[in-house]
Parts: sequence; structure tokens; C-alpha cells
Amino acid sequence: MRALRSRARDGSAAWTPIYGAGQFGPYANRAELGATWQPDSSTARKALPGAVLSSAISDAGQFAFTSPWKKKSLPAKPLRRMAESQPHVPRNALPPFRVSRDAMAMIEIEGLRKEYRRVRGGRTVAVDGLDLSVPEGGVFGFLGPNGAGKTTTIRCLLGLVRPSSGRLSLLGADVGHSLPTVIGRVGSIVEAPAMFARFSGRRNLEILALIHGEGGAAVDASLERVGLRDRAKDPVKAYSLGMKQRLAIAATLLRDPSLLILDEPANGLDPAGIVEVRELLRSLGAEGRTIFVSSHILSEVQQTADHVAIVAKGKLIKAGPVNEVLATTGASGVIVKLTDLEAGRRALADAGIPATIDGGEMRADVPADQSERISRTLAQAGLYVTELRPDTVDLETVFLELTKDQGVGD
Amino acid sequence: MRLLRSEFLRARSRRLLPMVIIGGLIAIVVGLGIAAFYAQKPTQAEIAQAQVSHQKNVERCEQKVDATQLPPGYDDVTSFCEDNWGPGFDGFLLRDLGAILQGTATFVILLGVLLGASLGGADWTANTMQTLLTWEPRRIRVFLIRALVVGVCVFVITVFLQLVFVGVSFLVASTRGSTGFLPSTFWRTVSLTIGRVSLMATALALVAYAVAMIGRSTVASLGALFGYAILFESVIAAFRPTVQGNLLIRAAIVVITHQPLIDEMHTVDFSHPVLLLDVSRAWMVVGFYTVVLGVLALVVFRRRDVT
Repeated sequence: MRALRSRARDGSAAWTPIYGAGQFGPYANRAELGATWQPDSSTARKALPGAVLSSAISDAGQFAFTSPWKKKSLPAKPLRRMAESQPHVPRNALPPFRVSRDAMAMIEIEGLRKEYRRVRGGRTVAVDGLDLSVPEGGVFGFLGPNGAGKTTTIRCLLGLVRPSSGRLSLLGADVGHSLPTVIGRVGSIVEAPAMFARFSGRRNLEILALIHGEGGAAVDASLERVGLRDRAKDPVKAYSLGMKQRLAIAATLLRDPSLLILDEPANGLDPAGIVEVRELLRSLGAEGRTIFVSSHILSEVQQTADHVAIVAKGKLIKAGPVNEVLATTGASGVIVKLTDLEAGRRALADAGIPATIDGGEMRADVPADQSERISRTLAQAGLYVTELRPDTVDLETVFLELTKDQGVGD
Repeated sequence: MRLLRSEFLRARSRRLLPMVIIGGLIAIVVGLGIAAFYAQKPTQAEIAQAQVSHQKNVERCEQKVDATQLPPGYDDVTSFCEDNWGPGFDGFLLRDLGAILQGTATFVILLGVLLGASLGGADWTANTMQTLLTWEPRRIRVFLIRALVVGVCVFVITVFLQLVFVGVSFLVASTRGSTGFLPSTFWRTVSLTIGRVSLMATALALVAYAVAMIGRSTVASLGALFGYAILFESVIAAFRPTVQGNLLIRAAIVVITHQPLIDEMHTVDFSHPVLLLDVSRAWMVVGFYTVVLGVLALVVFRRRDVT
């Protein structure tokens, strides 16, 4: 699959099997075709003898087929032949590699809504029309206060909870119908790690590993990875909360997942445990896995995530790369401390740098990368700074800013 | 197959299984130990006298019993008479083993119910069901494989315990009673009784499993079943005796004893009893309850959110 993808990046091929033919099992495969090349079903049937063309996917240029070859990948060569066999379109005239953001999304959520019936009548809306797209690779933070709908969203993604409406897909597979075909590549922890307390950590993992056809070696490797090898024979009830969390992460690693969905992994951990989990997430993300981590500990997410989505009351408030989200409030500047603040303010104003005095410090309203200009201007005026630092905005500030209209915390 | 292996490993890892087996073995040893303590080894003269008495009883029975009105399970009058007319002396007789196994069936079935409820409810109590479903989201498969594991575990354990019971009984009868006076169908009767008891334990374990999956709790399952068995069936049987033929526990008793349930209130001539439930229909009633509750539990498990 990687070879195919790299070939395609050269522009030498016009089609791209999404996530690789057969990588998610024998049941369903999708191929996205270049815009100028859309074979009809008979072309597909000729090129893939035995494959069953099932139904067209709604997006133009995509079709779906089902492989009859149990436990085998759909053969790459026929797919390539199919792409190259179009008589009317010269190969070099086909458009270059094109992958839409949607196509590469590890998680896609469209219009997710989940309502719960109340015992005394009425309904509670846990998730209200959520749209979300999680790109491949890196750590994606899913932020929101308690009751924002994070866990419900994760449960919907994993098929534990049936959405009231909306569409969800994991690794390109529709959660409602094709979840079993991709679940082997998804590791997950939902809320607190749930294990049999009287079983040893190792036995808990063995039971799960057997479902995936893994043996003791995979269990040992996972335990080693999270630093629990020495305590593997102890019953889980003797573990600390941090150890239980690590055991749960070890369980997710048994399948060597390309997507990890972790719900509040640092919840209830002491500072050392939080650091452990943070380091683990970083290293897993660095391996090329996609980590989708929900949390309400914003400082944690800021230190690990590349992208974030902020939800409140079941709705998406903001999503994007961390830097973009941090820039949302527009609050950036440089904090300056010096002996004569008023003289400093006047000097900066003369140089066209707006500044305000707040308490014992001055805030210059320029980007942090212009600190040198401030320092030089003040020095030229005979004023010497005692402290000069960027006025950074943290995720917590942005979060509170973005969610203040949502009545969070009411 | 992988899930099946995983489920067997999970079941095997539960403390309850060895506890049930060890507890059952202890109960067998203690129970038969007490029986052995109070039993007396008959003398040769007593055995000879009982042999004569037994022969006479069987002959008398053969003359009186109508071959066309034998209860289910008997092919001829001789086997019926040998089975039902004992030698007439006190002591631990191996020939009573069939009846003893029927008597201990209640405990065997209770073990089955306990195992079924626990294997079905433990995941809900420990909240590990959602962990399992994130590994195998095909709920029908999860439900059916777990039902298979429950069935196999209960059947194997109950057969094992009853075989141990037979073995220890043989030992006690050899040393503190008599292994004589066995009817020709003895071992067949004992084998079939063991099979029927284990099948009923399995069926009721599956019912308990189904109820545990609906109620998402071991305790709820046990409470519901005991409530049904002790309260509901008793009340219904008292106020509407004719409905007894459709009740689960009574059907299980009919299957185990292999004797039909007779409507004593409406029976005038006991040579022509009014039947509330015959043996073949009792099998169907037990099967009906098991299948209907199983399907109901499966539908509920498939549709309800796991939170």
C-alpha cells in the first residue's frame, strides 16, 4: 500500500486505494478514482474477476466492491491494471495524486446527534449535530467540559451507543455497518479502564489478545511497552490508578493500532502518572499512529496535541491545529518590565508600538517575534528592560473564551 | 473461534468455576460421608433374606401391573417392578442411586443457575462489556458464543460432579451398604438421569444467562429467577392449577423425574390420570422458555446502548 501511494505521489498513477486494498480485512474495500477516470461497473468486473461490485459510494468517482477472497487482500495488480486499462485516457494525462482531506480522515463525523430519554419523560441531548474530521497521524485533542458529549461521541464511534442521527466513520469504514472490518486497527479506552479486578494484568491482556489471535509474545511486548512487565502477575485490584491506566493502554497496543481513541487517559492520575501517560502518548504519536484523546485537562492536551477540537453542550465550538485555535482570541503581545513604565510606554508609542500599563508591567501589542524591536527602541531611549517575555495564550484561556457564550459551568 | 477461545479462557479464569467444583466435591464427600456414618453393612443372612423378599415382591408386582399402563421409561413390566419394588431393608443401597440423583438435581440446577447468571452478569458488573465490544463489536456473535461457553461449562461441570457422586456412592454402598438388587436397567437409568439433570441445569443456566444479559447484573438475574421459582410459580400453581403445565420449573421436574405431572384434583381413576404435562411436552416447555428468553436477551443486547 505504501508503495502504491508513493508511486501515486509521483503523478504516475491516477487512482489511490484508500488505506490499501484489503488492509481492513476481506469484507469491504474502497478505491477512489481520479476525477477524469471513472470506470463503470463492467470495467471493474473485468479487471477484478470474482470481485463483487456492491454499490456506488455517494462521492463522485468512488465505488465499492466486496472481495470474495477470504482472509486475503484484494490483489493490487488488477487494481493497477484497471487504472491503466482505460483506452480513452492516456496514463500521463490522468490527474496527479489527489487525496481529499476527507479521504485521509481517520475519523469522520457528520451531523452526529444523540438523545437520551429521561426516566421522567423528555429528552436529554448529549451530542447536537457534531461535525468532526480527524486527520491521519499525530495527536488530536478532543476538549470539552464535563457533560460536553465527549464520551458519548466516543461511544458512538466505537459502536457502543447508537446515534440518534448522523454518520460516523472510522478509517473510512462506516461505523453502522463496517465497524468489524476496521476495529482490529483501532485501540480504545472509554472512560475508566475496565478490567477484571481479580485477574492478573497479564491474564486480562491474554483474554483480549486471543480475540485478535495474538499470543503471549504480544502480551509481553505490550506490558513491556507500558512498564508493567514486573507487575504482570499481580491482580489488577492491587494496581494503582496509574497502573490500571497503563494496563488499559497496553491492551490497546496489543493490536498494533493505527488509531488510538483514548477517553480521559490522565483522569485521576497523580502528577507522575500524568507525565507517564503524556510521554507514552507522545511516543505513540511519534510512531505515526493517530491518537484521538479526549480530555478536560487543557494543559495536558496543549502539551501533546497537534490538532484540537473544542466541544461544549454537544456542539463543536472550534477545531483545527493547536496554533490556529490558540490564535482565535487574537490575544498576543509582549510583556515588558522596566523601572519607568510611563517613559517606556511613551518611547514605544513614538516608535509606533502601542502599549498599555497594567500593574507593575507593560504590555506591548505586537507579535512576540518583534521583541527585539521593543528592546532596541527602549534601549535607544535610555530605558533598560528587566524582563521581556511573550504574552502567550494558553488553551485554557481560549477554551474559556470560546465557551463563555455556551454557558459552560452554569 | 478466537472469540470462543478467549471466552473459555475468561470463564476458566473466574474464581467461581473452581469454587463451584470444589464446593460440589466437598458437598458430595460430606453428604455421602454422613450417609456412610449412619449406614450399616448388612450381614450375609440379611442379604439372603432380602433377596427372597425382593423376588416375591417383584413376582407379586408382575401379576398386578397392567403392561399397557406402564409409566414412561419402562419397556416391560419386569423392569418396572424391579425398579419400584425394593428388597425391603434399611441401608445404603446402590439401587436407590437414580432416585437420589433426582433428589440432588435441585442443587445441581442451582449450581448451573449460579454459573449462568454469573458468566452473563459479571461483565456488566465489572463494566468490562464495553471493553469486550471494542474488540468484537458483533454483538450477536458475542452473545451466542458466550451462551455456548455457558452451556458447555455448566453441562461438563454438572456431569462431572454427578459422576463423582456416583463413584463415591458406589464406594459407600460397597463398604457400608449393598451394591446388589440392581435392576437390569440400572446403569441405563442412572446415565439417563445424569444426562437429564445436566441438560436441565444447562437449560436453566442459559435462562439465567439470558436474564442476566437483560438485567445487566448477576444479582438481578438470580433475584428474578428465585422470585419466579419461589413466588410466581407457587402462586400460579395454587390459584390456577391448570396452568402448571406451562411453568418452567414444573416442566424441568417432569423432565428430570421422567414422570408426567398429574392433575390430582380432576383425576378420578388413577389408572387413567388427567395429565397436566407429559414428558415430551415438558421438554418443549423448557426449550420454549430457553429459546424465547434467549432471543429476547439477544434483541435487547443488540439494540441497547452500552454505557
